[in-house]
Amino acid sequence: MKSTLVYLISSDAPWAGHLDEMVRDERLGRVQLFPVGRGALAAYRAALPDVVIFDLREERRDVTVAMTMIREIFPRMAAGGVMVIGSADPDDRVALREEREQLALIQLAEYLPRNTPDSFYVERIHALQQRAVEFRQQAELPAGSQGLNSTLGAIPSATKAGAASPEAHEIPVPVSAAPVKGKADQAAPLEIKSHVRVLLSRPEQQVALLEALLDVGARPLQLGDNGALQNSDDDVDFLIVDSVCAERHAGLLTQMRRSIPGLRIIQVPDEGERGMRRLSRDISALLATSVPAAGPAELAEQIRARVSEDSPVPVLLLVEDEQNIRELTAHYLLLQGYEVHQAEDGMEAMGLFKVRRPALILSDVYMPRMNGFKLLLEVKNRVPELPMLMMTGYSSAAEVLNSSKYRNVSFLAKPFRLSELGERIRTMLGAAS
Amino acid sequence: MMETRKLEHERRQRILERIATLDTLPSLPRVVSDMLRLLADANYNIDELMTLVQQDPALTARLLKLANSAIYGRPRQIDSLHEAMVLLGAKEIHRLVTTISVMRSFDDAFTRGRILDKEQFWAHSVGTGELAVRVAAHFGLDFRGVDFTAGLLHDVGKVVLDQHFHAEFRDCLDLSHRRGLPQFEAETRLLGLDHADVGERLAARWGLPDSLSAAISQHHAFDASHASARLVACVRLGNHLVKDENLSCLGEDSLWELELDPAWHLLCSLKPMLDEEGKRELLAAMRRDFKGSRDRVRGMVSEITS
Repeated sequence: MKSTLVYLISSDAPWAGHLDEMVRDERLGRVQLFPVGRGALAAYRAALPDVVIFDLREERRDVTVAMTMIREIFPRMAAGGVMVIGSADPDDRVALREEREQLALIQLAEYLPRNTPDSFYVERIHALQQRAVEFRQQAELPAGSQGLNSTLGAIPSATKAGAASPEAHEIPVPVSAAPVKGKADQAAPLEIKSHVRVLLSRPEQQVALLEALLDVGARPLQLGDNGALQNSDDDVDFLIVDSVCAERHAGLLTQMRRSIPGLRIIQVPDEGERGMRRLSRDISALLATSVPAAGPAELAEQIRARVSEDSPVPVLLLVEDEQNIRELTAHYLLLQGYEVHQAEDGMEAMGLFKVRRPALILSDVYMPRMNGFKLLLEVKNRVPELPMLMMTGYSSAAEVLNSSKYRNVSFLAKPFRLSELGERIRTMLGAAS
Repeated sequence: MMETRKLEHERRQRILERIATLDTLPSLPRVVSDMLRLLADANYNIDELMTLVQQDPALTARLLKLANSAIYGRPRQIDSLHEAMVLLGAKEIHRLVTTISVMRSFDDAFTRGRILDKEQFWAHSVGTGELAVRVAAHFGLDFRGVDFTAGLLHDVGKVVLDQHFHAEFRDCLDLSHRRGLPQFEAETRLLGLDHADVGERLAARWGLPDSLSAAISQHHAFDASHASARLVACVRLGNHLVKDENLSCLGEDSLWELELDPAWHLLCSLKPMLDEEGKRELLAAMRRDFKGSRDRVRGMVSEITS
């Protein structure tokens, strides 16, 4: 049995150390601590832990960032669970409950006071870890036994009863397999029945592709270059490999071809970040058009065809002074297949605007040096038709934006869902073209 | 987010409670509201206005000193209140009397405050008042002195915050600079209320009429459906334009173009024949109109503070 990883996203380091000791005593894994915000999301993506704990008790300032992360992470948890430790505040409970009801995979949310005994946490973490192990065992049943298929196609979600009772301190046990909401739902007809291995030369590209693969419902195995080729007896249908890696590991590839019958190796040109974005986007695009039951071979063909097709990538300019939000948003937009340039205020944005000629500008409103209103004025004086999506959480700014005299200016209230942002951008770009 | 709102609410309550118990808050001289009551009557008598001012000999002396200062550049000495009234006009006398009395009653507050610069603050306030009157005139509105008084008093909440909560006020200013937030948004975020809310408390304490109180409390949180929305709009735009004329309270710029402001839209809706070109011309005329007044406002304030 592999050891389980528990990710604690919190700023409470002493508590994390304490939990780590407790959990390790029980030989069930170890705890890694990440402060809320920058880095935590990337760390999560790189390691895909079995259990994630969000500690929101002391993080009032970053609650928006934390919520965004929760929205990002929860739909991707294929096994194990998430524990949200909120304050005992009833308003918080309502907010988290609303959040949870929209996300099928949240297994458990707890709202605990500061002085909750350690034993309580340890007990809960063990239960979540146990479930992660069960999921994995189910997923590792021999091919043809429906094990993985059913896991990928229909990950058991929290039962309705469980979701409706946040105060309950019992862990809801999934009683029936229900289809997962959202993207995985669309993934079902594709029947990607097994593992897609990722073998790429640059780690930052792997993260992008990993995201896309998770979206499709595939189960990437091990990241890293030749480490991924060590256990050739795994059930693998696809191997995505870029040309640099393919050259470097030519011998291993030949070996894999021989030992894994039916293995499809998809070689992608080493086009750097841009090529990777296109590939990532096309995996999602295949889903969105819900191709009826394409087999692995057809899927491979389609991916190959799309990767080689040279479609222009829309360029976006993202202006936001808060680093956390900017990076998270930029990452999401990259995954959506856009070319994204980032600026931390209007002044920097104007510089980039002139050089990059974006198709759309997304901008925060209140920023130091040059705010979004001034940016709007400057940009509209030059390119009156350029679509601009202004984002703000301040009612004073919203009020003014709503009476904007400019064309193609739209307003999005913060905090927003990334999917909502994506939708708005698609609409605006669609209307502009 | 809910939690944040709750914390804001608690902070707000704490500050309001402290303000309620303060006994060193500035008072508003009676003459200010007495004059407004008088001006509200369409058939008021100049003599009545004179009687009001004369009751306060110190005020009368200051008024005459101002009337004879370089600001007005009168060739001949003005010796009596009656003469000043005739030469400067009742409206100007009203403005001078209101400004002198309000500034006098806030003198103590400024000695305790640490952040606001007294002359800069009053130049901003007087400028806002004057511009509010001009904006109103351009749209054919006349608020009978309430517009000027409202402009003069719109930021008094800042003085109270500076005087009694200066550490917090300093933090708001820092946040505002760091994040490019408007001062009042920074205040709301850190204190749970802004200077307009504090101003509203003062207005209530002074027993000011609803329209004046609304102009103070809503100059940032503009509500176009409020009964006094037109007055508030004039003060709000006055406050906006005065910053463009380099008369801001703390050195800040106006945040957005005036043409984007909901107050501008409200006032423009009063002139349905006004097209985009007409609006631009109107705005340019208002700006031109005030250009020369800036030095006069500064001169007047420094004359009164000296």
